[in-house]
Amino acid sequence: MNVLVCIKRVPDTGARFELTADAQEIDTRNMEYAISPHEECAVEEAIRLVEKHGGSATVLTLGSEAASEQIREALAKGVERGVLLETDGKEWDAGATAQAIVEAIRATPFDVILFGNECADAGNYQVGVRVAQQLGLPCVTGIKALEINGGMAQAKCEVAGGWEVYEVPMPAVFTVKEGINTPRHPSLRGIMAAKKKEIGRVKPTQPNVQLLKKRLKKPPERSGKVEILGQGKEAASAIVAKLKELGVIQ
Amino acid sequence: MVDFTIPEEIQMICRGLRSFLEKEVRPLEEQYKRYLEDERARLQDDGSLVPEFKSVLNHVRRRSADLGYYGMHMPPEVGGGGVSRVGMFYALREVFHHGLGLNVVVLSGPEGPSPMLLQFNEPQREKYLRPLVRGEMTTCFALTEPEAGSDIKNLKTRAEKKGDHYILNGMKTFITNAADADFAQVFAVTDPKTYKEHGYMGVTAFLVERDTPGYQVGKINRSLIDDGSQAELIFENCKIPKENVIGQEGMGFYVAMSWLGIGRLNIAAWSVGLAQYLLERCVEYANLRTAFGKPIGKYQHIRGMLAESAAELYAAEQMLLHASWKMDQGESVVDESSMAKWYATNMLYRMADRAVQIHGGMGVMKELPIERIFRFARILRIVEGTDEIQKETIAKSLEL
Ligand SMILES: Cc1cc2nc3c(=O)[nH]c(=O)nc-3n(C[C@H](O)[C@H](O)[C@H](O)COP(=O)(O)OP(=O)(O)OC[C@H]3O[C@@H](n4cnc5c(N)ncnc54)[C@H](O)[C@@H]3O)c2cc1C
Repeated sequence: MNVLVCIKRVPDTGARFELTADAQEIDTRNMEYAISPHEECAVEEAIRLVEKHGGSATVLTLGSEAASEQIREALAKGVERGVLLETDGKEWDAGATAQAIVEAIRATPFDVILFGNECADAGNYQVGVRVAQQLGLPCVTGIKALEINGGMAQAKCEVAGGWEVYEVPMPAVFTVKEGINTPRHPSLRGIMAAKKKEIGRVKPTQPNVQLLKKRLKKPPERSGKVEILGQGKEAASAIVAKLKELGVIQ
Repeated sequence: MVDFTIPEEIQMICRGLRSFLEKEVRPLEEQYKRYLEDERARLQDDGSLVPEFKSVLNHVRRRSADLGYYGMHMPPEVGGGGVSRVGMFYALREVFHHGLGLNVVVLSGPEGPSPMLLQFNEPQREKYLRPLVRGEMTTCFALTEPEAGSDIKNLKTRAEKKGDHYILNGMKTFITNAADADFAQVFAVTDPKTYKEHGYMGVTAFLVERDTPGYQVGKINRSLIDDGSQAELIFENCKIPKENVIGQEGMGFYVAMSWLGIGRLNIAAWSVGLAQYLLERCVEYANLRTAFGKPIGKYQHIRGMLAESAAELYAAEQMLLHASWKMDQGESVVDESSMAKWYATNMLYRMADRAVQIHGGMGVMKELPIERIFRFARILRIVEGTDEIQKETIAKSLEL
């Protein structure tokens, strides 16, 4: 079975970030990067599928040379091959990214194509669905379980109070949600082996027509406010008044 | 050309370690918080570790070994990763940048495999060394005696040759991991005459198995950090087969030298990681804590302390990086490892003292990890050669 997993290099989700002065980019100085968390699970799922069913896994990303760091990380965990759709670092919108991925893989038959449900930076839930649509493949989004049986794949999505279960013929596209598995840590042996694995490089051309970014805006910092309503038994009536004000009681 | 770029695989090792520490070790630290917040909770009445805590430590060590990290400084032929000293500097810094929790067992210390043990023959490598690298066994380095610490020319432990074996008698003290070690590396005088004349010759290093009749763990040494690690070892007529000589008879100190330089660089790297951790905690606190209407980080006294700390940390890092690189080139780093060990441990001690001061009352409370690092930092100026011994070594290199 041949599995493709598409990932994106994003600022580490735990990091604090600032915008550049022109509000066009995130200020990347001193920034740590990582694979998007959902995609880390997609990488793990790809490795597990190959461990279980044989075949090989390929990791692909569109980004600047720096994104080869995330490819190597996936290679260190056990993915066999890497492909970098190398850009000059400018931002590509979801449509253009999907187009470049489709062109890069059209010639290579993959049985399963995995994406993260959404990337941790832009979070636009688009690329996986667009790739599936352009390749004419079935697509299940936000999956939390995946089983392969012969030519069929069974994917499960968590919904309020239960599961939605989908059965689709392969090849198929899945977007993976965190929680589907616990991603492994790269082992030292894996890291050393990753050095020797090859990363294929393709330079796609960026289409002229793209979504145009006006500006980025930082969300207001969440601030916690503590208000002491009173001490001892005096506090009770203050609490009741507050609960009424909030509409919790009448 | 001088190039300070961190090689890609070393960066990957550090990221791998961070992922392991944050995603696997940190949740365990949360689960076993009661042992980490106050070390008294980890100790039994005799000073040894509570079995549950010991098994958590063993679990973390084994997991790190499974991932290939624990013994990665050892060569591949014994199961290690062949990681360079520069790589080990960055890896140790990464691990100790997480403070003093369960992370301390992720990379091997004196309880683990050391290059000195590459002197083992093949059956010994299979029986002892590879299991050490896999984190399945532990050992201890038993040199210090009640009357011989800095002064290693005053050892009293003796091993007398009798045909195909030696008879070992003596006592060791302050030995890290002595209570749990599966075997000990014991230094004993085998040629008292030569030892008396030369001081460095006439001492032999032995592999002594825990179940050897006459091998006894003495009392656990209680200490400033009370981590249940140090203990006495007592040998009473222990019969040691001659195959258990590590390296050459009479050359024990020379065999040990290969470990001493590394031990010093390791401790200096711990210091750098811990100082970095403290500096970050201090900056965070200085921005957060207000007094007299503004964050304490706006006061010149506090700013001065942190600016000095940052500069000293930078200096220690560069010293260590250079000494490690030089060792990787196969050059002697006797002087440099002494300089780096002395400077980095004292840098950490000053940093820890300032960290306590900047945190005020909270700095000495057990709610924060600061006071424990302060105590730990004090110990690092004693182990692996005291401040004074390092300075003696440096002074000698100046031909004083
Ligand atoms: C936590 C901990 C773990 C340890 N683990 C181990 C271990 O695993 N294995 C092991 O073998 N040992 C271990 N030790 C022992 C350690 O190596 C010794 O404590 C250390 O070498 C100092 O020896 P000492 O305690 O005998 O002090 P001493 O040598 O008696 O020194 C007392 C003081 O005199 C100074 N001094 C000594 N000689 C000179 C000199 N020539 N010039 C100037 N000043 C001098 C010293 O610097 C010190 O200030 C450990 C100790 C501790 C505290």
